[in-house]
Amino acid sequence: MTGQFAAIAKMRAQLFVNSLFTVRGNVELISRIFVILFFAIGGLGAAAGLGAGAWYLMSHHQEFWLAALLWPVFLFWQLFPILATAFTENLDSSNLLRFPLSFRDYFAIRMAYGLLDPASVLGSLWLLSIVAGIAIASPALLVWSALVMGVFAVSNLLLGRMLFAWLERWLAQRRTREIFSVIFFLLLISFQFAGPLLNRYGERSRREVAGVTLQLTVVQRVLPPGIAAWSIAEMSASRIPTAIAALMILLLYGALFFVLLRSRLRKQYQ
Amino acid sequence: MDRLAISTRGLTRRFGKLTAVQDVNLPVAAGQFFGFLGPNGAGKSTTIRMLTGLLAPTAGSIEILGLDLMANPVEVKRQIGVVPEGMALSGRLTGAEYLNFAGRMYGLDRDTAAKRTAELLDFMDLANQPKKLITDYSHGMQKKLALAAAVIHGPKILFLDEPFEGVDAVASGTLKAMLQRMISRGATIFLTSHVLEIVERLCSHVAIIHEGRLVAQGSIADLRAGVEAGNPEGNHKEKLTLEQIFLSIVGGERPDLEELSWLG
Ligand SMILES: Nc1ncnc2c1ncn2[C@@H]1O[C@H](COP(=O)(O)OP(=O)(O)O)[C@@H](O)[C@H]1O
Ligand SMILES: [Mg+2]
Repeated sequence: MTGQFAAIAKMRAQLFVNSLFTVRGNVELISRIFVILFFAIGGLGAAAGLGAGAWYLMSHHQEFWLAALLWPVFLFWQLFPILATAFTENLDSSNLLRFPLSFRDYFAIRMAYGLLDPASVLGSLWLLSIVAGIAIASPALLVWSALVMGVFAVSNLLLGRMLFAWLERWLAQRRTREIFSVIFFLLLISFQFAGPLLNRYGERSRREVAGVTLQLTVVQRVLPPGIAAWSIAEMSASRIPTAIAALMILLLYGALFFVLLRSRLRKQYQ
Repeated sequence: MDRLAISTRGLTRRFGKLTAVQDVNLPVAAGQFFGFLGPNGAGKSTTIRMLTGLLAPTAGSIEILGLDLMANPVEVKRQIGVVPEGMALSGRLTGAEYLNFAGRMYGLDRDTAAKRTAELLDFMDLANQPKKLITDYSHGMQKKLALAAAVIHGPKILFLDEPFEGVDAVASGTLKAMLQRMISRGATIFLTSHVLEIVERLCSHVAIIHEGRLVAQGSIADLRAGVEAGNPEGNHKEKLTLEQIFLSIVGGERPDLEELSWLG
């Protein structure tokens, strides 16, 4: 068993190294530089922004607004891997299933693949920096916010793997991948316009618009990012029972994703 | 003698409304070179994926080497090798890296995996460009590598989905040499093909699947006798080819050439 895990780790490392050092032509070189820059600048910049945002909200007693920071993290974590399959190696479960792997090991490997996914790495980094921002503003919340963000991260990971497992067959099709690569570029381009557009409205009205949207979408509050923000806000107001209740709901989400993921992989494994 | 390598009962797989494989009962004796024949879309790949634990059946049971596949997937997979339809290779590895990986996944220790990797690359004529990535392999080279990965642990049964599809004569000679060696060693080979000549030349026993149902099985001689018996007025001075047998069983007629009259 340990031999198999070691073999997979080594193979993944070789895949990574080989794809770093084999660049075919200018297009691939440029796109690789673009991707690395996007990840480095975008990732670190977003981490700094989210950390500062969390600090600002906590020191101005706007805890409820944490949800506005958690939502982008959540969406990126879930959507990016799916869009990115357009550019990555075609993942086919028979690559692993043909080998004598027990279901437990198969499940563990699929989870480990998820942990190494760029979206998980960036998502975790961002959550970490949100925790740091919260803790700097109110040190007493360090432990609780770390706990909530930890559970949030795990449920993100499970949900991401679950979506991936359900969509796998569909994502493996060339056509889907082509469609996604187009959507991906459209999204990238639309980000360019989002900033200037938002800037046209003053700081005030921007907050109001966002406020109305957030308040009105009841849905937002009952989904994991909203629940996580709620739990931290409640703890910050010293309403411990509701804070714990919110964390429990978040845990339930995690458990639900786990069960769905497991049943999907179980079916595949048969 | 009559030990079964593969045995299915009522094997069925549905995809939504489509029944890709229906109620297949398939006994394959140990040591046979078995050809699983059928036109495109007949259900060959679906069957082979179920037999190798890559796809769950909707109904029915599968025994491999006397073991229930559903109950002992790990034990079964240790003793079989498979080259699935898409070959399931990892593109951005070298051939050696991939074979080492496959060997380790099948439970070989590091040294054995490395030794067999070198031997297999040599046998398959893939050793002279060690840095080349699998993505840059030709189709025939990929097929050879996929076969090498499927035999590295010395399996008792080998499952091959269309192994000669798109492979040139030289490469297919190498593939056949490997398969003959496996057979002479006592292994069982189960291969699918829609090309009748290949099956006729290599296989001792065949089954024919058509629209998800088995329509014939047995030795080629048996099938020939069956068709001749059912067709007494036919001219049998010359031996029926597998193609003729196939057409008479599946009832396939040659497409109407009238419709292509513009071809001249
Ligand atoms: N994953 C799938 N989802 C839906 N339909 C499928 C799937 N795999 C195969 N089929 C369908 O099942 C039938 C049999 O396919 P297959 O076993 O690949 O045939 P063969 O290998 O004999 O050409 C075809 O009609 C095919 O379209
Ligand atoms: Mg097929």
